[in-house]
Amino acid sequence: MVKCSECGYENIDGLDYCDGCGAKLAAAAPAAAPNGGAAPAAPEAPAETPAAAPDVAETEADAAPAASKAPTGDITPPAAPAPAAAPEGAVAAFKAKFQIVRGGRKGQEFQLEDGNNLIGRWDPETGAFPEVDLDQDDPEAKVSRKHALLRIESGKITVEDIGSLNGTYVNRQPRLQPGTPVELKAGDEIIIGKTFLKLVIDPIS
Amino acid sequence: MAEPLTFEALASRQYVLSSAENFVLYVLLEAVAQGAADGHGSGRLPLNLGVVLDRSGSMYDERRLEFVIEAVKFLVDNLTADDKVSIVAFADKAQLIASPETVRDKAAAKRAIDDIDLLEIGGGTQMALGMRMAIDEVKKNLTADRLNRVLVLTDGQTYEETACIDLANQNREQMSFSAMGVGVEFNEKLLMRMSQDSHGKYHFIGDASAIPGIFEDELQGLRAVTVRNGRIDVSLSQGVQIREAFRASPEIYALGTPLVGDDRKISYEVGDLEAGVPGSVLLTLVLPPRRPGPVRIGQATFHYEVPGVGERSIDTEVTVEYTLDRTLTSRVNGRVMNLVDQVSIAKLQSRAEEELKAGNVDRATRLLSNAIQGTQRLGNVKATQALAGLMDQVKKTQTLQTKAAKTTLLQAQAVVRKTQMLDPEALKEFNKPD
Repeated sequence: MVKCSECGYENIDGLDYCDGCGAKLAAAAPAAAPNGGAAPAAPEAPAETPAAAPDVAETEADAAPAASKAPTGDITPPAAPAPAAAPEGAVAAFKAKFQIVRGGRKGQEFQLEDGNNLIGRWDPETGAFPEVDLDQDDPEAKVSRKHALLRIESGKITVEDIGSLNGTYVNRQPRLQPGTPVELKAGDEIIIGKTFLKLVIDPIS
Repeated sequence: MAEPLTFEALASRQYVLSSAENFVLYVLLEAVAQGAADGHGSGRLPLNLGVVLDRSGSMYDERRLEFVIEAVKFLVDNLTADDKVSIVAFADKAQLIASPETVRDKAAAKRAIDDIDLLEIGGGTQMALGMRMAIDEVKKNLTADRLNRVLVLTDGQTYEETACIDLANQNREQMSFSAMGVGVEFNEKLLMRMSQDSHGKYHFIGDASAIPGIFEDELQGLRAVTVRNGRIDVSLSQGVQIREAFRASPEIYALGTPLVGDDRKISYEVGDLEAGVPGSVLLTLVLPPRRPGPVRIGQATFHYEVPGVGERSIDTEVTVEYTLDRTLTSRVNGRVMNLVDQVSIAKLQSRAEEELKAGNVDRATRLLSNAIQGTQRLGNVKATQALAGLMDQVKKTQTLQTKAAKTTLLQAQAVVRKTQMLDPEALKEFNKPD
C-alpha cells in the first residue's frame, strides 16, 4: 500500500493519484515493507480497494451558498397589485404554488394567490414586484419584466404569455401564443427563460 | 502493402511488485493511422454531412448568426463534387435550408444560408427536430465509402434532451455526431454525450468569432480520416481486473465501468481515425499478487477498415515481470504516465464539479488545486490558466451560477479534456530505455 502524504489514504501499489484527495502520489517506490524475500502467497481473489475515502475533513457542515445579493431580497410583494379580474367569492378549495425544479434557486417556492399572479422580474424603474419574481434566478435577463400571467379563477388555473421576449413553455410543448391562456393542472411544468417551474397543488384541509 | 496503422499496448511499468497485495498497472492501447500519402487508400473520402444550425432568438446575440453564416459559406466553398451536404435550421420548427442538390450550386447554397434569419420557424430551441431532419437527409446518401456525419451547432438548452441522445444513439452505426456549443446556455453534458457515444467531436465555443475556425477543424479532420470503425478488443488473463477505462486521445472521457464477461473480453469502439492522430484507450488494471517471474496480462486486437481495401486487424500482447526488486518497479514508462496524468487531471476537474454541485466548496477547491499542480507539472500553461480561473470563480461565487463563472467552467472542461500531444522530441526522450 502507498499512503498519501496529504490525506493519509492508503492506496494500492502502483497508483499514480490518491483515490482519496487526488494528490499525486510519491513517484518513489512504495515504502519498503520488510518483505524478507519470501515468495508471496499464490494468487488469491483480489480484494477490491476499500470504499469510502477519508477525503477532505468536513470542517463545515454546509458552506451556506445563500447568494441573495440581488437587489430584491424579499420575494413576497409588499402590496400585491392583483388587478380587478379576480371575481370575489369563487374561492378555490386548494392552495397552488410554483416550485423551481431547475435553474437558479432550485427548490424555491412561490405561493400563488387567487386572481392574477404576474410572473416576471422586479422592475427597478417602477419598483413593482411580480408575484413570481424570477429576478434572482435569471442573471442573463431571459425573463421579461412582465413575462406571463398565472390566473386562479373559479377553481381553474391558467397561464398566459403576455408578450415575453423569450417565450413561455408548458410541458416542453411549442411556445405559447401570447395572449392565449392555457389551462394548467397539478404537476405541469412551465419554462420561463432558463427557469423550470412545477405547479404544485395542495388541497386545503 | 505496408500496414496502414500502428497499434501498441504500453504498460506503465515493465516490472511490478511481487508482494501479497494487488498492484495497479496502467495500460495504454493506442492506434495511429498513417497518412494516405504512401499510395493505398484514396485519402480524401467523400463526405455526407448534415449541418444543423440553431436559429433560436439568442443566436442574434454576439453576432453568433453572422459567424455561423461565414462558417457555412467556408464549408460550402471547400466541398468537392463528390460531397453531399445538407443544411438545416431549427428553432421551434426545423427547416431544410439547402439540400445536397442545392449545395452543388455553391452560389445558390450561399444565398440560402444568407437568408437564415428570414425563416419563420419561431425562436425556441427544438434541437431534436433539426437533428431528425438532418439525419433523414444524411440517410438518403448513405454509402459505405462516405464519411457520414451530422454537425450540430447550438447556443441554448433544448426542450427534448432525451430525444437528442436517442437520435444520436439510434443512428450511431451509420453516422457520427459532432456537437458545437456556443456561449454558456447550452447543456454541455448533452453535447458531450452525443458526440462521445457516436465518435464525433465536442467543441466548446466561448467566443462566437471562433465558429468559422471550428468548422475548418471539423472539415480538416474529416479530410484526414484514413482508417474507419476502429475497435479495440481486450482479453485479460485470469485474475486481472479492470478498475477504470478512459478514452485518452484525441479527447479524454470516461468509458464507464466496463463489465467483463466470463470470457474476460471487452471491446472499445474508437470510431474513425485521422492520420497521425492517436486513437487511444487507457486502462487501469488491478493485478493479483504473484510470485516473481514474467506473466502475460492480456492480449489486445485492433479491428478496423481501410476504405477501398476492407477489414483488417492487428494483435499485440501485454506482458510484465513480477519482481521483488523495488528499484526495478520504480521505473515507469514516461509516455504512459503522461497520459495517466492528463486523464487524472480531467477526472479531478469533474470530481470538483460534482463536489461543488453537492455544496462541498472546500473539497472542490482542494481537488482543483491538486489538478492545477498536475497541469503545472506537465507544463500545460493553457490548462493551468483555465483551472486557476475556475478556482477563482469557485471561491468567488461558490456555485458557478454567473455567466463569467460558467464560461470558465466550460473552458476548463474543454481544455482538460483535449489530449495534449507530446512533441516528437519529447517522445524520443520518453521512449528511451532507462
